[in-house]
Order: sequence, then structure tokens, then C-alpha cells
Amino acid sequence: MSSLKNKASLSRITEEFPRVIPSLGAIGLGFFVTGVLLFFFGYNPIQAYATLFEGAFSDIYSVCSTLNQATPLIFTGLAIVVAFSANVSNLGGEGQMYLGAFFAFLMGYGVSLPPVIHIPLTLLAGALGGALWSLPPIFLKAWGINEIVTTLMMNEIATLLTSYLTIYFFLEPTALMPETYRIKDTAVLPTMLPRTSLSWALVVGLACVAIVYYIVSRTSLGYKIRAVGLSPKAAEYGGISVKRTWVIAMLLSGALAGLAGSGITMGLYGRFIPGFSPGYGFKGIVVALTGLVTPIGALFAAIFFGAIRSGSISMRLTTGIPKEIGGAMEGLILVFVSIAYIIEKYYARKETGTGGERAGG
Amino acid sequence: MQERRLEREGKELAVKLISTRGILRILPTILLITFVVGISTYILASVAIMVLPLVMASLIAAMLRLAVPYALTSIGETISELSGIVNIGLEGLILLGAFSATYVTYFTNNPWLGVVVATFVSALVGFVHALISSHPKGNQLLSGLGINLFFWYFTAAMLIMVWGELAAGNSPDVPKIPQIQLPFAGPFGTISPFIILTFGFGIVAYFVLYKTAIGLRLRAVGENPAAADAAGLNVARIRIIVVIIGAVLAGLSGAYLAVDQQGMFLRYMSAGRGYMALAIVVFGNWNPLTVLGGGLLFGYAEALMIRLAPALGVGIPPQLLQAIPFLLVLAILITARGRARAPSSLGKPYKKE
Repeated sequence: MSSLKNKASLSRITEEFPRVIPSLGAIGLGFFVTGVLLFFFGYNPIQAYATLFEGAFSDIYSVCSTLNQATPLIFTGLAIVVAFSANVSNLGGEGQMYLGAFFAFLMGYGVSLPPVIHIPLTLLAGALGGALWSLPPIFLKAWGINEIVTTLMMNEIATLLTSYLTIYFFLEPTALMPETYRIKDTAVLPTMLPRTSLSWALVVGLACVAIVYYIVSRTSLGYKIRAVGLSPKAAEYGGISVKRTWVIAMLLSGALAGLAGSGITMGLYGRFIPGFSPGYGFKGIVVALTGLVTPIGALFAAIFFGAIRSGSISMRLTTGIPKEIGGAMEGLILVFVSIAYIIEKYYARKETGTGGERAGG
Repeated sequence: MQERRLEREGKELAVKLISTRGILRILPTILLITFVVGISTYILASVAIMVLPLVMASLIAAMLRLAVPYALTSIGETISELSGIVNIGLEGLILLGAFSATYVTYFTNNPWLGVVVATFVSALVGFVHALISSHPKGNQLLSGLGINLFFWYFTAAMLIMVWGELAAGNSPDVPKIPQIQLPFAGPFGTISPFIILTFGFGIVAYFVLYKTAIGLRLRAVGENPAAADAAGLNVARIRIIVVIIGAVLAGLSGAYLAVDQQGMFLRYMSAGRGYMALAIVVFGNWNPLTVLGGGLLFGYAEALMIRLAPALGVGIPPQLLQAIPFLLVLAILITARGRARAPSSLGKPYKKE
């Protein structure tokens, strides 16, 4: 990496470009196979994809909607980048995000402060919620219990717990569907452009991309995370405490997933809605992996998948194709990414080894 | 040097494989279960003391019915994990099995044909996962997660594409698998063929895995692929075959949910069973018989939840009752720590040296 830094930016792009090919190939194959499935069920895939991209990029409002859809994915994608870099298989982004969203609601609703203090405090409350929810699985991992199943279970428990707290303690009495009271206006993130819903959460997300990039590639903590991710044994031998690095990476990952939740509570709904997530936590895995497990790559991937999501909503309106097709395509892309790991030699030197872990006790 | 090392590893492997996964290892887990089952049964009994025999009989029947998807899926996963391959994609495979069985049954009116097609398609998806995960550079976690994501959304989309926007939550009713009449048990003594199939699979899997040469080879591949390779076993081929078997059992439990238990496809009807199956395998210490027992325990927990909710439900929030199985999984993983011993190469791709 460092030797590449010194070269001119143009030659850097040409050198780095081949690394993107497997991701692009996986995305292309995902589109192709989904298109074949659509064709098989009597839809016109070309027309479908045309409306999808029109719905995602045609005017300022659709671009704003794309960026809004991308914002939570930036956070959950970054959460996965940090965890997978340390070889921690954090599949609990979903639950950490729910707790983050709920903690942000508590801080936004329960406290009265001027916006200058209230907004950062509410953001931090969300990060704290996510980090707290990531603590039990990582302590269990350090204690010898694999994190894959525990994080998955923590997801389900988080969904039920936040739904329970909403319905039994903070229920908005006039609402048709269960939701909490509104947070105070001082904690609401304003929209960036008038007459759009584009929230300032996007800017927080971009700042997090920069921070995570700096931490992972420029600090000693990032060095430790990457060393543990490449080979825990070698890192331990080199004097790095593997367990402590796991815990720090997981807390960071949980905090980022929690920020995704605060962004949604403060920027999108202004309240907590149980079960709001269409799987942002899991989509973060697709985002991180197609982004080559790097912060910058995750940013681009998040915008791309945000476009698919906002586009598939308008695709449903014009062509009648269910919007779930967009989610299905992401699943396919993840399978193709795992195939790309096999066929692409560029992945050989960047093995994250996320599968090289015991899955049980 | 290389040969000597392999010879030593081979000897160690032989010792490991002979020592059975004994019941003593999971004693604390069994105590926990006894405690949970005891307490919950006591609550139930005190609620319904007047009609106890009837309640217990119907509870056991419900337990058997609800245990099938847990047990069948986790027995399949046990076989696949003993060869060293984890399949996180069980959740997706259950949904695939459920949807394809409903789809075929809807258009042919023959639930058995639905089950056959579900078997076939889940074998096909299992084959893809097997190819990826038996490759030296393959990533089992990503492939499995991709399978889950894809079928989670794809079956929801198919529901709308096949039956229209109005059917957003569930498919129309389809014919169910006919139940088997038990001898001397009267008009209510019917049992699903899948229950018999599940017990059959569990017992057969135990004997094949732990009492035959085929099972020994399979476990050798999971414990030490290098030694198994040196002994002339085709590691990749064995792994591919067992991963397909595991996928088929997950698909079958999906088919059971759709064309036996519910008689329709419900969106997201797998409801986390695929993830819980992963924990049941750890709980059962990779022994098909204890895994079968773990499946029955989850069936019992679900049956209790269904019975308890209306009986005590006024005071207890439904979300807390729904959280019980997930909390149970965490408790099981914590108590099984150190006692359950995973196959040594579990989740690690095998690279030839």
C-alpha cells in the first residue's frame, strides 16, 4: 500500500483497478441471473433495469432518495469492514443497529438541550447502544464461544426487546402502527436540501468513512486489527493481545452499526419504529465484501446498493416487479463474490479469512 | 519429514475418532435442560391441573410436530459439519424447500411431488455451496449468507410474482401430506410421515457416522483433512456429497413446514429455525442422537410457548415469550463451552500441501 501511495494518482488507479474486477463481475452476474429469473416469470428485464436506474438517478429527488438509502448501508458496511479486518465475524449488525436507534430515541426524547449539544449527544448515544449490544458476543468469543451464532441470536433478541420497550413504555397512542413518541426537535437532524428528505446523517457517514480509513490504515490500532485479521497466531507471537484487539474491533463495529440506527431515528423518522430495518445489518456484509473490505470501497458499494434499493421501489410502481427482487439480487451478488474469491488471484493476498473460523462452541 | 508428520497425525486422529462423543461431556447441558423442562412443565401443570393427562398428551403430540424442522435441519447440518463444512445457508434452504414444495403442490395438487421437487432444488443449491466451500480458497460463511439473503427476499418476491399483490403474506391453501394412522390409537392417533422420517434419519445417521467405515472416513476428513488425503480419501468429493445431504434435509424440513404443518407458504416462514439449527448441532455435540434430542427440546419449547401464551398470556408480553428460544440458544452455547468438541477442521478450507 505505502509504496503505491508515492506513485502518481493515475498510475495508482490503473494498478488498483484489477482488484475491483471480481466485485464488478459479481455485480454483473447478479444482474444477469436476476434478469434471467425475471424473464422466466414474464417480465422484461431490460425495461425493468432501465426503470430501476431511472428511479435511482433521474433527477435530484431520486438521487437524494438513493443517498438516503445508502446512508445506513455506509455505517453497517463500515461496521463489517472493521470487524472482518480483525477476523471477527460480526453478523449482529442488525441487532446493534436496533439498539443504537433505540438509544438515540431515549436520548433524543428524554433530554432537553440546545441542538449544538443535543445532536452530537444523541448520535453518541446510538453508538453507545450498538457497542453495548456487541459486548456479550465478543466477550463470549474471547471466552471460547464462536460469535457467528451468538451475534445472530442477539439480532433476534434486539428486535424483540426494542419492540417490547416501544409497545409497553413509549407507545405513541395515536399511531396506527406501533411507534414511539417523537424525539425533541433539538435532536432531529435537519434535511440538507429543501423539499427533499436527504438527511445530514449522510455527512456523518462520510466523516465515519474518513475516520475508519484513518484508523485502519494509519494508526497502530489499525495495524493490530489487520495483523490479528491476517493471522491471530502470528500477531500473538508479535506481542499483540489478540483478545483485546477483538474486543476493540467489535466495539468499534458495534458503535458504527449503532450510528446507523441513530441516523435513522434522528434523520429519517424522528422516532423509533419497531422492525424498521429491511436487513441493513446483513446488507452491510454485501456492501463491505463488494467494497473489498475497505472503507472507501464500502462507500461506493453502499451508494450502489442504495441506488438498487431506491430504484427497485420505483421499479415496483411502474413494472409491478416486487421490490424484494433488489434484496434477492444482493444475495446473489454475495454468492458470486464468494466465487470470485476462488477464481481471482488478486484476492489471494487479501484473504480476510472470515470463513476460517470454527462455527461452534 | 512430511510422511512422519502425517503418520503421527494419523495416529492422533485414530485416537480421537475412537473416543466417542460421550454423554458425560454434555452433562451440564442436560442438567440445564432438565431444569428448563421441569420448571416450564410445572408452570403448565399448575395452570392446567384439572386436565393434566389430556394437556400432556397434546403437548407431546405438538412437540413432535414442531420438532421436525429443527431436528431434520440440524441432523443434516451435523453430517455436513462432521466433514468440516459449515452451512450458514440453512435458513435460505428451508425457505427454498417450503416455497418449491408449495409451488409444485399448488399446480399439481400432489404434495408428494412437491416434496420431491423441494429435495431436488435444495440438492442443487447445496451442490453450489458445496463446490464453493470444498474449494481451497472458498469462503463458506459468505456463500451461506448469500444463500440466506437470496432466498429470504426471493421467496417473498416469488409469492407476489406467482399469486399477485394480494397474496403478500401467504400463498393459497394447498393439499397437505396425508397423515399415517397409528395402530390401536383411535381416530386421533395419526402421525406425520415426516416425524418417522426424522427419527429414522437421526438413528441411521448415528449408526452410519459412528459405527461404519464410511462414517469413520467422513469424520477423518473433518478432523484432519491432510491425513485423510494422505490415506487416499478424496476430501473434496466426500465434503461435496455430505453438504448436499445436509442441504436436502434442510429443504425437506422446509417442505414439511409448507405441505404438512401449514398447508401453505408463509412469507419468511423459516423464522430463524435455520440459525437455531446451527446452535442445536453444538448442543448435541455433533452426535445425531443428541442433536435429535436437541430438536425435540426446541419443539417442546415452541409447543409450550403456544400453550402458555393463552394460559398465562395476559400478564406476559408476547415479545418476551418469543425471545425464549433465542435466550435458550445462548444458554446452551454457554453451558456447552469446553464440553462440546467441534471437528478440528470445521469451517477451514482444505489446502493441499
